[in-house]
Amino acid sequence: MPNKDSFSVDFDSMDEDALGITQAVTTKTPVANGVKPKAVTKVSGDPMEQEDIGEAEIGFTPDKTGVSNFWTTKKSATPAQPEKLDKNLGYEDAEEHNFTRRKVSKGEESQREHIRASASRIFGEEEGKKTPNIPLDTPVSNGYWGAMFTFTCMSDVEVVVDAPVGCYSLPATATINYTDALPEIGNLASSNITEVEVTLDGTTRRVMDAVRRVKEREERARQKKHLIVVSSQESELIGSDHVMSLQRKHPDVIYFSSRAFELDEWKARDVSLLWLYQERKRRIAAGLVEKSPPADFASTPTHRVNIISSTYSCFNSYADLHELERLVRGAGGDLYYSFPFGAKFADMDRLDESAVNVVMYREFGDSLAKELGKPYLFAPFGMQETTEFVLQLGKLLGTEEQAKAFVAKEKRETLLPIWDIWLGAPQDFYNTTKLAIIANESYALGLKRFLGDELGMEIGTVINRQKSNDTNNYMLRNRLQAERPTVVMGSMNERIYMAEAGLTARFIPAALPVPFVNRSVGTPYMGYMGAVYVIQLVTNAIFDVLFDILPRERRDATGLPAGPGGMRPTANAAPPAQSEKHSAKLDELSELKWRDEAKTIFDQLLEKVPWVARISASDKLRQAAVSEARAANLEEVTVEMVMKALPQVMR
Amino acid sequence: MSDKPLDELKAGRSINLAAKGEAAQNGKSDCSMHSATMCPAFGALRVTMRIEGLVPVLVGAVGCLYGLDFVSHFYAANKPIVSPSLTPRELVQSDLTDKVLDIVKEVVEHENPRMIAVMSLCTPETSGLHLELIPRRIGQTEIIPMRVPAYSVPTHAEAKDVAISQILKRIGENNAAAGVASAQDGLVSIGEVFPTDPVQLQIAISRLGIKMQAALPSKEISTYYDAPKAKIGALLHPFYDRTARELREQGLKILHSAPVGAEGTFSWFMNLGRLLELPAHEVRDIANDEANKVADELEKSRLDGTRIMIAGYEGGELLFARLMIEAGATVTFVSTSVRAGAGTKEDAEWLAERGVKVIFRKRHEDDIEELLNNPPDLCIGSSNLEAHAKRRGIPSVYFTNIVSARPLLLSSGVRPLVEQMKLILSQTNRYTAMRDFFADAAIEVGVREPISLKQ
Repeated sequence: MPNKDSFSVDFDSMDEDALGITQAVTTKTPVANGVKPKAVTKVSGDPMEQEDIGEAEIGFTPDKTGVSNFWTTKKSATPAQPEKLDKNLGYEDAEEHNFTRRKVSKGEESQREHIRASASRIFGEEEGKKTPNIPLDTPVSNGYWGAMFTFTCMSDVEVVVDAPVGCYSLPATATINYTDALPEIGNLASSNITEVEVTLDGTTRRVMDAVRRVKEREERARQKKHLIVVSSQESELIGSDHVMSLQRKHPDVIYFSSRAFELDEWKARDVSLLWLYQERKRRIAAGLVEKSPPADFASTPTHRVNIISSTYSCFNSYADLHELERLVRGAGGDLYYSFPFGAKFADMDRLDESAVNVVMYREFGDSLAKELGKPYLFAPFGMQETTEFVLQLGKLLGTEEQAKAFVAKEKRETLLPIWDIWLGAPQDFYNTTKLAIIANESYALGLKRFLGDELGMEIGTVINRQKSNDTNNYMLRNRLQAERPTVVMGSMNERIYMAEAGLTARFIPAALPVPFVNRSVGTPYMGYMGAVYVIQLVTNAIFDVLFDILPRERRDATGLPAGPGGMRPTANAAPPAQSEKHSAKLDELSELKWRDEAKTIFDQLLEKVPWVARISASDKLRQAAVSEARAANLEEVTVEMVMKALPQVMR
Repeated sequence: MSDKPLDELKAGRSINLAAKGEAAQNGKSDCSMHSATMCPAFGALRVTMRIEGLVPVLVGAVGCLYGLDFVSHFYAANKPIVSPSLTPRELVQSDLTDKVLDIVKEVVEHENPRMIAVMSLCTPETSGLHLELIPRRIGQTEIIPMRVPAYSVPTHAEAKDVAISQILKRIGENNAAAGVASAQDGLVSIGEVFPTDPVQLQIAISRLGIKMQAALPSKEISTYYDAPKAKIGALLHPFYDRTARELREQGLKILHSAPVGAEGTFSWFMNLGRLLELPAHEVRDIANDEANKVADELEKSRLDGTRIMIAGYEGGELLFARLMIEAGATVTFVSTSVRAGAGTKEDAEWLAERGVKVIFRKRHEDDIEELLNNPPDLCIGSSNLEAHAKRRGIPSVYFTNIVSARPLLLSSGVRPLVEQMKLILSQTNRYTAMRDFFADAAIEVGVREPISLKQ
């Protein structure tokens, strides 16, 4: 039975559709020993109460005197009843010795609700408020970008875009620095239309100029490139279409309408790949281009595997493609052609000559694979899926033995670290590691399957951006804030939302947009190598969280300790001069009385902290709240003092 | 559609054509294949995203929003952008403006910010987004329209001008309505500079008896409200034409150029004194003293015998070139994406007197041609020019990343930049070694070898 996690937040009140979020099936989290005292069920029939008491393994349990006892687990929390024990030395009556749940009055219950609600507000999950229709940030680009990134990654293609300057400089000289670590896309030129063209002249003259220039440059360089003129959102809007003028002046130049408005960048990649293949067929049929020369390396036709691969601006594509090629070879395939990445327009006929195709992404390439009519497989994530992939590929190629041997060898070599990590202590953290994954389809589903289904990490929010293209980022931001995951895998946008909320979570890039150099082929997320790399990334992120929660003593600019336990001393707190005094003061801390509401909100707040960080956070928050109360000369700790202390602990 | 009258459009075209004719005579391309600017709208985002209490709303097509989001989250601020993307149907429907207004209202309802900047890109501008129909104010929130289509605002520098001038315009109108006096006292500097530069400026101008009212762009909204109180608007960068017009209308006097290098510092102070109508001999003493402080620094940090090529976007290249020349470097070429105007006049003349070729509204190809024909020892360029230089073993850095990130004004602006250039030049052997290492691979940028070669 799926166990609702103790610190997951109830999102029932949120409008899932409005959020546009695919909620993952909550992964089973094993119940820790002794967490649920038996007697609770008997004493109280209220499920709410059971949850309250049963799940807070570490917290405070008020006893009759109203003095809180911190740091007592369930077992020791059982109030000792000396007189009764004296009378029943034989422990006959089990009921009597079990923890007895205090009855909660109606008034108390409503006060709890009130406090619960106020704690919720802090984390931005106000109930009953209508979903804001504020579109925030844009994680996916449009048809022009998709088409251009597809065509330009073929080295014998030159693209001319009919667009204002921004459509050239943004993708070709700016974002490409941070997605592919390239200084520029060298085979793109722009018509650079200005207000004159938009309002008066139309863009044809500019486009023809650009085409002529590109041709002159090629002549000088003695290169023959295939020119494709691509439309942009602006040229489409003003109705520029160059089919006729190109036919008249430059019949060898192809015009491609990128349907910039209609398609998103991923769909556009899919459409462009299919179009390239069909356009080439048409051109050969019309006698405009020659058939591809035969490949200059030996291969067995029945073993040939083509990869419908990445284009520019695909997250981590260099390493993933490298791993995919390794898997294909391992399974006994002759790697024949990668298209379009590393391909040429001139050798595209090789697409027809493979036995099996591998489609790298679920986002695009599918349509071309269908058109090619050969069996095809999608790139795998995680150990199980990769094993299936290799064996299946072996079956399709008739190289089953080789594929099986490869899997066996990989288990002893590439995958060995996963087995070792699993056997050791790092794995212990996985069950209590909460992840949020916001990525494109391949990554979102692949990472969820590996980290959630195979490794048992708890997957909170998963957003498959292909399924929910119009994700309400405004609500996503609130959700991340409320969910407080340990690790967030996503894009720059999520990273900003994390920073805004002051989350202690670690960020692992898993989707664009994000400025991130990922050109080493040693960092795949796909395949066997990817499984090892991802487990390493996530584990190290958990270690990093742990590093931050261990106590440390901060030092001020002069190099002297800046307060006990790394805490910021409050302005009017007495200086902890002698160590004796200091420890006496710490002892006092726990003796200060806590108001009931203060204790409740204390618990509520801690529920929001990721599990690994909770012990430390509770310690810090308790100390800080007591310090605040003392600084304010209060006899007891109030809600205000807890709230005042909150920023010191949770930023 | 932009508010430019048709004759201005045509005039703009004829200027372009004249320039092209000249280029054609020189045997160069008359088609600007690669103009050198970021998507212009980025300039407006860079200014507005950094203002605390301002919510940026960017209206455009998805591709534009994605790209601008991307670069702004790298170069401007870690702040979400409200980005209503428009479908073609929405773009041609008459209620386009209402749709944008609805989102603005939502932002006001949920965030209640002090200011909202509504920036419109190419496609909504083309299809008729009526920014003027969006209320100036909803509740306590000022709604400020900014039109920054790439086909009409030529560079991202000029979009910064659009952003700042629109905010100042609104403040001026509000002030006029409320009867608040402007142009009282002090100086406001306009132009992105290193954070310590305005402090140095404040110390220096206090000798003339005036204070710094404000330094724009600023992350504090209140700074914008302080700006019209100044008497002098000092445009440290040359492209703030709209802002200058706005400040003039509010009664401020405009001072061009900036105190960079010894001669630049001297003339800047003299010009400031003239605008303040102070006795020339008094001003001359102070100007001379400040210029001497710069000269002292310049004696300590030298670049003699080095050839530097400077290619940038925002007109600040001219000031930087002056500093390099005074430090002893040979600068033969300065190019910028902004146009020649009142703001560039003095610096361009100073450079021309020293035989420097200055190109305004440059194209990427101009820079590459210069790089190939007169290879310098050091190339300060744009991100894609940088690659061309490094491929030839020439040390090179991106102007925006390195030069713009250091103090430039007065005596404290000398050492950091000159020393930085010396440091890069001292690494020349690394650039050549790297070039030599990859020489036999003969790699085209970003082109992956076909699979056959790998096996």
